[in-house]
Amino acid sequence: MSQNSMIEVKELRKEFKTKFGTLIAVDGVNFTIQKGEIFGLVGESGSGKSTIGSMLVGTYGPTAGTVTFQGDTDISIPAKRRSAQLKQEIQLVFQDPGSSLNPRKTVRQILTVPVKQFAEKRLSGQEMEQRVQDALLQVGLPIGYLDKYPRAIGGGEKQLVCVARALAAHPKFIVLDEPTSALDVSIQAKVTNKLRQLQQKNDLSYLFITHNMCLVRNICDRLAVMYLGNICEYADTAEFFTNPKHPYTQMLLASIPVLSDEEEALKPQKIKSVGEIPSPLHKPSGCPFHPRCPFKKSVCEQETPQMREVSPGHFACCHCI
Amino acid sequence: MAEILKIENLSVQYQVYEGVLEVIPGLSLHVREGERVGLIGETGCGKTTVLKAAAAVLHCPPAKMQVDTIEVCGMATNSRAGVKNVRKNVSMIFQDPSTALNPTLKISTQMMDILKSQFPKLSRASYTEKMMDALRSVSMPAPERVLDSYPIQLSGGMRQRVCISMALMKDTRLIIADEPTTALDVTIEEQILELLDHLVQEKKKSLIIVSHALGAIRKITDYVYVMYAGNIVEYGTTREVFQSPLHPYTDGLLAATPKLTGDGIADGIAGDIPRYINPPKGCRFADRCPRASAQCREQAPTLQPIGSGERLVACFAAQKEAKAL
Amino acid sequence: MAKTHSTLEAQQYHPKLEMLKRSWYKFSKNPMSMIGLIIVVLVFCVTAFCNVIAPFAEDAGIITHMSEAFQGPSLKHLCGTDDYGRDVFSRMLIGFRPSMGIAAIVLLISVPLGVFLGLLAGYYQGTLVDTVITRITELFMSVPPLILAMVVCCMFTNNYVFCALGIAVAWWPWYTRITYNLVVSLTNELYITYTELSGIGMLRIIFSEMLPNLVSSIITKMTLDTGSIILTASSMSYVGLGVQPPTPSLGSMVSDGVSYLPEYWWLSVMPAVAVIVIVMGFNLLGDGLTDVLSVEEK
Repeated sequence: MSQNSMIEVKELRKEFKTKFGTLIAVDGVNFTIQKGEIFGLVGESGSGKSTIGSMLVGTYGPTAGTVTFQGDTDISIPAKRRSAQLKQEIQLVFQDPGSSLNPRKTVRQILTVPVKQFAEKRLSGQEMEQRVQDALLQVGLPIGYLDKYPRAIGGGEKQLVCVARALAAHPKFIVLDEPTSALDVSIQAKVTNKLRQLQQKNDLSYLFITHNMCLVRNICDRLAVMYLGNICEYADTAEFFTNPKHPYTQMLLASIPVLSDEEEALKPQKIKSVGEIPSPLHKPSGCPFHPRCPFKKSVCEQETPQMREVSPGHFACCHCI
Repeated sequence: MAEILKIENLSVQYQVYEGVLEVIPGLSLHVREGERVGLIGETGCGKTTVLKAAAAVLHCPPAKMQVDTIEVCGMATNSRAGVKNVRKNVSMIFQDPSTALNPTLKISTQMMDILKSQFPKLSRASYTEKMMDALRSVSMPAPERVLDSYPIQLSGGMRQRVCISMALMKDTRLIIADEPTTALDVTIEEQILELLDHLVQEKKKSLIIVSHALGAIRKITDYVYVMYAGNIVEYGTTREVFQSPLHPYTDGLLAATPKLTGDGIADGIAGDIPRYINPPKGCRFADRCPRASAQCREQAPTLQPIGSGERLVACFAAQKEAKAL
Repeated sequence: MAKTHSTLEAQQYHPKLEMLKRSWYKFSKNPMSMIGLIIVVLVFCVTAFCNVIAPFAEDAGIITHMSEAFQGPSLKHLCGTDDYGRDVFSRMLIGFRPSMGIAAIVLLISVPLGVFLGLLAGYYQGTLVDTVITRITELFMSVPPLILAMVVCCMFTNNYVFCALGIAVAWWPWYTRITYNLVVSLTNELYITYTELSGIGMLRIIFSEMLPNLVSSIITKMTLDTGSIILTASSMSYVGLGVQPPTPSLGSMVSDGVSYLPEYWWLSVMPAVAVIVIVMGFNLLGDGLTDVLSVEEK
């Protein structure tokens, strides 16, 4: 298992102290990302999916639990205390391409930063230029873009520049935090396909964080669905979409606005979306989903359900299963 | 059926550093009484500009607007009385419910303001009763508590419910919704769409909803306009347009949307929206179009009816195909 | 088509130049900013060449033409003459120089100092460094510049260099504060997060990533401040601090003329108008720059 694992997350927990009390953003989460796979992390706002992404790249460390990288390196520490090699091997792409590129720098200057930072030796000016150009060409943008400012290029192209910046470090694992959420549909498709293509070509592993179920259906190998800091279901993509077990997952799938009757037929029909997502500050007791759950039993209010394997590789966290 | 909103031959230009942006070259659309109409378009296609023109709030220079007619409920909007008529007959729902509500006033105060303009001189109790009714109609849990809250104390979904209840409280005939669910989570979006759908039908209002979320539009509209680079490229009943798109842009857009069926994603539509400065002489989609011919680059296609039903498309290839059938 | 075209453009033109052209277009569209720019350019010209431009440059010193005293504005004496028969217009032009000199000294001291401390405090926000710098800043901010400058002038020599030093002591905290606020908002930008996660050094983050984004705001503030400093310097010379007679300064000319109001109004009104116009010019220019230099707006 650990031979093939890229990331192994065990009992990961993150609390934030706010002036309204303790916010439990991530509450004891376990999952494994294999080498060479795209792992989807899906959830609505407040589910803690981005918090997990931030902990993997080291924006901050976890309150408890461990994260292991490539089977042996402990990375449950903030980036400041990580080795240079780790910083190079784990890269990230943010949701908002507008804010992730410095508006006062040209694309060339932006790409030079990782090339210089993560080079194995001192580079000559020509080598540097060559690597910067390679990075840009890899994501399919023309060389002319090197002299442009971020404001002069479109949203999708900006996001590709962000991908190029991540690739310029020659990483093994990339955290993609809602990489296409800010983009238009026709551009999203291009960026998504490019990401998939680059993953196969460079033998990368991705953690793909998103709220878009349809996107996950088409790009991820496996996925986990989160609700209020807990993973409620965790399976292979195909298995998950044909046979969703958790009531929240079913509600989520039933809510997707789709484009054809064919897709309509694939949605679970028996469950209707009700209620509001509670604030993570006032997390319900027991199963966090019980106030919205149509199959609620008395045990759900008191006991937190445990993760159970419903079929090989398919885990769900519900008292009713 | 009477036309609630009618825009004919609207053109809008902006003057900027690089030259003149010809954002909308000449656009017509209409919403009839009781209809729910969707306007699909991606970023920068000018859909918000059209909405602004419809709500008579597009008057800031450097925008230069020319139009044959904009009528709301049969009255032109280009006079003081016309604007007043718009204010009386149109209510708007915005994308971001957190900026649509004044953060310094309680919900009750903000709803009261609308009620007072609508029904002057009522007793305090009957105002409260009306407000409670409005909130109950959007299935708001604990309406008393909501009335006494500030917007910041409510969640995004609840704020949008308040906005919808306020839009419906006014006795208006047309509701303009600008991306009403884009800022919301999927499960909440579903509830809001359902609610909007139900209320518009129940109160017999007309609705024009603008969004880039195709699924949401499909869910709650009867007719749909597809916009590309300032032009309407396709019009028809929602069902027909989604089932058998005629314009290559609509087709590409539908294909690029990730599906639940999991057949992978089509590679989107190559290229970008053309620049609005010196836009292409012919069809604005020609550079990205897989079916473009020499004619498309020379001449701009106009909206032509297809078949017997209400179906319009602005594409030479699609028009020829329809004729051949 | 459109795409290949723009790619070619990017190769032929320098992107910085293109950005400047765009900014200039936006700036020149606003008549108020243009008026500001013209006034400021004129002020700089006058400051540089006042000895040449002034029709009676020798009137700056101790010189008397008693026969021409208290003449009203005329073609020969545009702003009339004062109690010694000196040309008010010439004295005004020469009075620009100390005002601008004070502004220059104040900015030269307070901008580098203030920005440096602001960057430091902003980068180490929440730590002891932040607290110490913020508290010191607040301490200095609470003292009015006029009073501080008076104290400095009284402690040392009463000339315009010390007067400027006095103002600078009270002025730098504002630059610390504006820089601090900008840096704090920048740390939320994802490109700063990226550089931090990549392990790029503190100095490079500050100087290469943050500073270019601060420059426009700081230049704008400097422009607006030049007006305020000239006003402060004029107030000081009005009460007799700074430039000493017989060298003219705008403030002291106003105060000297006050005793001759209202018959010989031009003695104090003309220099007062000059101060107002200069300050307005810098403010208009500053407002214009604020609009133009923000990158986010398209």
